[in-house]
Amino acid sequence: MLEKREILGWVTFGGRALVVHPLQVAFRGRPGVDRFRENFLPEGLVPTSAADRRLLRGASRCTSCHLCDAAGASPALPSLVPLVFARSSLDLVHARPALAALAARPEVLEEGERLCPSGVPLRLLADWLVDRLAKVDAAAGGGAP
Amino acid sequence: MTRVLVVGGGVAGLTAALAAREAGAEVAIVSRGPGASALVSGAVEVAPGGGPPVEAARALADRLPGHPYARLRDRLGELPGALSLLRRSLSPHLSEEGGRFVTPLGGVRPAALAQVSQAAGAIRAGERIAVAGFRHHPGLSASERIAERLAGEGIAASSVTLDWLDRVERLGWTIFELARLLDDPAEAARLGESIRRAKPQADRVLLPAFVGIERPEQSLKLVSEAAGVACGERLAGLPTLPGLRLRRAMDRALGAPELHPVAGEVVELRDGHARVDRESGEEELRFDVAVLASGKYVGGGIRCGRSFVEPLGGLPVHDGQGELNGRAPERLLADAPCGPCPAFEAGVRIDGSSRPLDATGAPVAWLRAAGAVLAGSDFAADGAGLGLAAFTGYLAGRSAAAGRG
Amino acid sequence: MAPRESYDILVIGGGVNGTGTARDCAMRGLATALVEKRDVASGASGANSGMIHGGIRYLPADPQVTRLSCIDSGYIQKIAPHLLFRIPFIFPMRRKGPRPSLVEKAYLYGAEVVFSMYDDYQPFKRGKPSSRLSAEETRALEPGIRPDIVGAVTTDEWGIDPQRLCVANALSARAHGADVFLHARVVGFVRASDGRVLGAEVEQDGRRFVLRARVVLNASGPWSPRVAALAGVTVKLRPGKGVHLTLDRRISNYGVICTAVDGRQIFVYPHEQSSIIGTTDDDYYGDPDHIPITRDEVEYLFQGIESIFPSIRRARVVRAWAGVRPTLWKYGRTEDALSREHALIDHADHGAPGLYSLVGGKLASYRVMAEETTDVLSRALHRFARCRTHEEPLPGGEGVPDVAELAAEHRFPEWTVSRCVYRHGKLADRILAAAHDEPWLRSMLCPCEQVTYAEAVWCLREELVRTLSDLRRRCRLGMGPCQGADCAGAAAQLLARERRLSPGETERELRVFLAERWSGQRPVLAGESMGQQEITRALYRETP
Repeated sequence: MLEKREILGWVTFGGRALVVHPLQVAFRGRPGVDRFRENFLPEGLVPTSAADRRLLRGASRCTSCHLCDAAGASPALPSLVPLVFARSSLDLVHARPALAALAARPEVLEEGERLCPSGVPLRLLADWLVDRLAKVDAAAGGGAP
Repeated sequence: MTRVLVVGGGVAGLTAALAAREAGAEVAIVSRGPGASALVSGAVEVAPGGGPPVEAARALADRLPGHPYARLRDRLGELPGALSLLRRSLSPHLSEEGGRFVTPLGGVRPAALAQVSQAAGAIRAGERIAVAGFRHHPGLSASERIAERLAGEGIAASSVTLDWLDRVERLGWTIFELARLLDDPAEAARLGESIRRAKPQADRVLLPAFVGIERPEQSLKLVSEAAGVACGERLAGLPTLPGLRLRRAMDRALGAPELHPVAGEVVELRDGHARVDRESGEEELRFDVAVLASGKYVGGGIRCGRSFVEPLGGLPVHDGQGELNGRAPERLLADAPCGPCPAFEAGVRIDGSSRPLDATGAPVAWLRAAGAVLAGSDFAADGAGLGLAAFTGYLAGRSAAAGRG
Repeated sequence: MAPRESYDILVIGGGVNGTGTARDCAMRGLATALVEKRDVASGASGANSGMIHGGIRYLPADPQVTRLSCIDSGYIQKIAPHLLFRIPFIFPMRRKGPRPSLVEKAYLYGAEVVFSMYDDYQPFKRGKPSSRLSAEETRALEPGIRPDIVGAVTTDEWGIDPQRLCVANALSARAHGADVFLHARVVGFVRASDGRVLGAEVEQDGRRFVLRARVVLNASGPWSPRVAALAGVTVKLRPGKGVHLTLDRRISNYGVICTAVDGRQIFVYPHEQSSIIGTTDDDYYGDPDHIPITRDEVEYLFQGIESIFPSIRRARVVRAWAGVRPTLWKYGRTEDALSREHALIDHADHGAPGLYSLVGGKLASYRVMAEETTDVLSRALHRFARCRTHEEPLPGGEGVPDVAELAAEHRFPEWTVSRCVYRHGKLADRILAAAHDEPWLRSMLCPCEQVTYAEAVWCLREELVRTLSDLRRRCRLGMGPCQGADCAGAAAQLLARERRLSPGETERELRVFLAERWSGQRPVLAGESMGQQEITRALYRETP
């Protein structure tokens, strides 16, 4: 049995569905994908494409053995790419110095890949992260990527 | 001349290639990397328990009837030859003798061979040991606890704290960066001096496995001279510098033109043909006999999704007992993280000539198998590490060289 | 810690209800003790979905509940701004035929209207308003969603680290004078001849002592029937088991609402640096100390997500975990809105005056529940102070420091500082500053979750840590893709050093921690995780 309060809730819903919402849509328009982008993309919450996810699967092969780190120099170690940076785009802005350092010495990731026992595509991942960071930057600047 | 194709560039693959070549075969070895062989402690373990390797392996075979040692029991006499081949091919990477070695957690582990700088850290009867640590490097400073644990096992061990790493710019450096530093003779001498200053009450000082990448035996000599006391390395955990050293030694060994090394990944393997994915594109290789030395899960020789798969030969996957697929998943994984566990014994069965068995139980004439891809082998539980890889690789290589059948 | 002669209130249970209430009581000047048999957030409070949601599911029937939920979500954001992160949610509507049917369209329109009603309350919690997406737009934002959908509506919620929330509450309680006893089990109650509960007998480290209190609150969640039974009274729950899965990374920045085979809604959503799939809901009358997870439950979750997000099985699952919701036996029909999901039982009527049980509840409204509970308990004690838990920040919540500035000042990498700031807020400054005097603190202990020795040592010294698993709950040590392979050994050595453990004790700590990690990996072990586990087993093989 419904309580009074619940009946009121459903009546409100009916009013919203039949009257208020259609009017809002008619006058203010229907908030769609643009609003979603404005809401979330500037905070670094960018979409993940199918190609992005293929790369993420490459990162998932990392078993944390840190052998690739033998090719690099701290603190911008190669293992950070699959193990930390490719885990969340929200923190990418803080990875900028490391991504720059790795980009400046391409031989580090190349050697790191050679050392990797499980075939993590370090170079592809690092390039992708630089692109993704650019998307995050663009979104933060107001322009949709 | 038999054409032998070895699939896998770990210790099993390398030994197989060398053995086949020694037996007069024409060899090619396809490797996408050393797989789990790169993740070693620095010791070549044959079996737990110590003693002569053949005896230890035989004891393991008695205890585990599904283990590759048990399958190849009649051939265990060839184990010393296999180890010797591995040692010669990687020279001067491995010592001539084994012993008992100290692990990063303070345990003691017997091994048949070890990297030269670690062999110097073997426990010797009647000696007092000092475990060295570094104040500002917490990963390297567990010396008190290692010493305590060793003392608990009746070994005269103390700990000593060195000031070698106290310079601020080295904070947070990786073990690889520190090792690279110790390739510099002046720096090795400085490390030795810091040992001298610390006045260890010991006959031997145990350092972390980090004394140089290029020429560890020379770096260690410099350290010991400056220290005025014998020094050696402990075994490694992860990240592993011995793994990097082994990798380099293997690269050198695999670089031998007579092994016809091919960098790439075998994506298809049929009787007589292998399709190899290389950076330069796909390539087809022809062979008479192939050796499967593709490792377990790290190496990719066995995969576990919804079922257990051996992706190249399409061979059935067993543990020490029998076929794995079809058993309830819950029963494949033990209650405890370490210790015996069917899922980690997963691999292919072989006959006494290293030929893998197909679904009907018949040997596959054109294939041999070696290393972690073998059913019943589980390094974490059986303690048969690179020793098993070298032994089974050796047998598989020789059997392959003898031709099909 | 030596207990005081007597307390005003003794809270049993270190979950969010217990720590939240203890904090409120302590802030109102009551002499408070909290006792927990394991660790803070080691039960249901650490095994929930980790969200401070605004109660959209009460719409449209009960908008007042939604309103109050949103207001309280806003308060939590105010007192712990560092701990919250935004999770946009997409709710796609499947279609069965080649074209959407009228019913399907109507259903999606209904959802759109409900989500727009929710928008009215979003400002209370700084939430973003909803959107309605076409099928194409949905797939442009989240290509993982299958193409045969009518469209989708979106909304916005907040995620939180539930363990940190509980720890922060416990630490705040302590800072306000409460005594917190962890790994201390209540073994019985002290009673007067008339049955009045005068306190509890507690066992800690094999030692027994009595905590006397004028009022005792049983807030032990799924254990509350057992605790109540110690006083001879009954608390009836309908416990529901909830299984979640953790993926190794964010596979998307958006949560996706999916429908399971039985019609229940389940989600895949980003959470901190990982993704979570959850949850199941089944009656569970087994032992809350050992909750089994079956392959069937894992399969149920996979199939449900797969119906909307087909590629989910290709992601790397690092573990499964389960909690028991202390759901009320039966919702009261007459109580006020928010209390429908929780109840404060006065056991005076059952012959145990002085004992109360707080049962039910949910993470998102823990604060207001704690407030209501403290109101009742204060009245019983004739003490009347105003609640301030919605105004005064939790420890570290006074502000969110600038990551780049802190990194420069303390010479830590920015990407490391960022995680420390997330977990500790303003306190990150003090945590990192310690490395100037103790340089070894700069080293990395857990690379996956970027836990430095500085942070771990802070937690060990300041945050009531006894075991490695306690440390894990404080700073996510060993909760990343490698599940402790990298850090467990080093962390055990650190714990040994800080707590002066013997080699045997150290080994035991390590073994227990690895076993705990394993128990969650076991039900989902496959794919890349097998390789990871092959390495972990080899690394720790001397710790059987």
